[in-house]
Amino acid sequence: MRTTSFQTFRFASIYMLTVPLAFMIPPLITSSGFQGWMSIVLGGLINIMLIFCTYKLGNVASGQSWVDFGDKIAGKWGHRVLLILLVFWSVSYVSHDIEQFTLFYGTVYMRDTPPWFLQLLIGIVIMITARWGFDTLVYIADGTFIIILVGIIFILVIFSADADFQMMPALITHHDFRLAFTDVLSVISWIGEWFIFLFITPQFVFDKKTLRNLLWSNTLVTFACLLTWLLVLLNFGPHYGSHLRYPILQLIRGTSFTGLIGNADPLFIGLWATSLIIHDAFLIYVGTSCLGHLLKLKEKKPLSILLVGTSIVAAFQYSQHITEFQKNYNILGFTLYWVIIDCIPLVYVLLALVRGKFNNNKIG
Amino acid sequence: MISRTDETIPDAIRNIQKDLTRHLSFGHTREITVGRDYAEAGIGDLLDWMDKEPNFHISSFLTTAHGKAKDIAQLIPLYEQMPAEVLRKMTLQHIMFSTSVRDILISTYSKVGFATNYLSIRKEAIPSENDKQEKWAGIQGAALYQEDKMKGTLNVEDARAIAWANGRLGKQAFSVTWDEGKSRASVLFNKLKATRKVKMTKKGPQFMIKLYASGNLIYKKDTKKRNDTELTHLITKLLNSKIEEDLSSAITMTKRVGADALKLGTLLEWKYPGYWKNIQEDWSEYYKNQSDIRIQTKVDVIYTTNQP
Repeated sequence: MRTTSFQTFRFASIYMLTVPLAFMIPPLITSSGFQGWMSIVLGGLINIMLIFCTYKLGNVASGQSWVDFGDKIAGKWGHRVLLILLVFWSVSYVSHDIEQFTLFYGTVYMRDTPPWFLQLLIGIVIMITARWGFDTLVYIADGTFIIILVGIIFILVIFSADADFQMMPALITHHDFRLAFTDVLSVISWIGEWFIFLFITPQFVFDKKTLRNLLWSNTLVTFACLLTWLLVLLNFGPHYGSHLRYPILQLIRGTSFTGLIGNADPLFIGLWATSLIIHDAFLIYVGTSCLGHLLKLKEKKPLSILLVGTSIVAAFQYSQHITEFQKNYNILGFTLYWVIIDCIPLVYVLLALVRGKFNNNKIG
Repeated sequence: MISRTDETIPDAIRNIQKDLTRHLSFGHTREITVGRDYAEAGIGDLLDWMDKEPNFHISSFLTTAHGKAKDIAQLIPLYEQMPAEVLRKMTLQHIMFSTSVRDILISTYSKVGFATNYLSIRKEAIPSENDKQEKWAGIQGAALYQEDKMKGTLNVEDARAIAWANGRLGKQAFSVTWDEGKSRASVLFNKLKATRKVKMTKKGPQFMIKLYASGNLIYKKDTKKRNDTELTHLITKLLNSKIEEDLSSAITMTKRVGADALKLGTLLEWKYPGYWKNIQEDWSEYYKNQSDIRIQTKVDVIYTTNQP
């Protein structure tokens, strides 16, 4: 596969932007109101450290795939435990995505359709996309990057039409730092999975350019989240804004009744759903890589059916107990679980430092 | 027009639906009118329903009717196809208020007030219908709300001033008279802006509302035949004081009924959150008795003349 380093940037941005833009902002406004920007900025800064750790690990692995290489740092069983954890995590993440999407799409557009149908549909699409392989995923991300970026810029412009900029001083007059710090954890759980780019290793080489691309991608993601958060806040205020489940949808619809944009919400949702599929397909790819390595299988594609099937069933079970699902979504334990997974590169770097693995660049 | 009564809004809708051949979808709603009695009792239920109905566009407009909302719906649509179109296009002209459900929801959640158009219906002889007496709907002022309850009304002049201070007033003509009413002039303002600011003083927060406008002179009748520059100065001065008076009387009325229609509470919340936290529960009372609101107006009258 012909790769250019800029592809890493595009792929990383598409992967990271989808879920936070859609789902991170209302809970953030609810918990920290006017101070959310501090959490987002701090989260972005902490991401830089995580990216550095990821880069260090990828660099040391140079040329080998991460699943094969990781046990040289953490030991055979240490690495295996981690891979198992990653398999569970990726299935859980995909099932959450499927359920969130079904909740969103089902409650707004298709109330009469049973949720299992939507979940099955999304699941099948994710499975097929994952089976196409990593190369295809990168190409899809490449192709849709510009369109999605233009879509996001477009939405931001629409938002600023009705935004009450007089609210801006409120961002600085509110000083409850405790809120901002507790929310940093939540922000990292949404935009902190940079370790996942370790799995691009056989096809992409981890050199300085990759590092630069990932850092740029982090900047783009943090900036986009910050702007979107700001504009949602300025448009709806902290009280009503925390009440809305899907503010972006309300804004798109609110532009005009008969005009093109006011009725174009399906278009934006289609674009967003594409990037969601890429996100989930990559997660399944990660899951199958880990599982394939653990079970010492050569042919990893059939595993994707297993993993996606598990995700769909899990999503179905969530949909049977929606109040529990929504309650558990925001509790501290859940956020911590995600943050711990996000800190995996940190753990590995520490282990590597302790074991002196960074002394030789060529590890056989 | 179909009408049903029940304990809650969804139940009433269910009653309507059971007698219909087609399925109601609220995605098509553009305009909501509430009757005076309902408004005074509090429209919280309606807001809650609109909030939760997923197809409902919160950019629909809301107006208040002088009597029963049913009467307004019986207006005769002369220039449009349907009464709802008439109401919607009237609001879109921005001649008075263009309050959308979204504005109302934001105001209610932030514990301040809002104002809507106040519609009334009267019988008029319509020439195109052979001078038959038909129902004609018109805006007779503004309805003032605090949170979700209607507290009072304003007449047209005051309502216009509040609409201006809210920042969304469209092109308007304003007239002034002098020389004991013998001379008069009218100016068409095409740019109407307003800014609202709050400043903390030793006695408490002081709100400053500034109104700006610029427009062209479209009519003058001067019995004393003054020269043009002197006339422009005079008209500008008179307009400034008239607008200030209108807004001042409007604000006095909002204070009397305890309705923060200009959303001054949110200004406090943004700039002085500590202070707002202490008074937000009694904001309506505070606004009624203790708020200090200053007004400043600045209008520009453009009258190009050949005189030196």
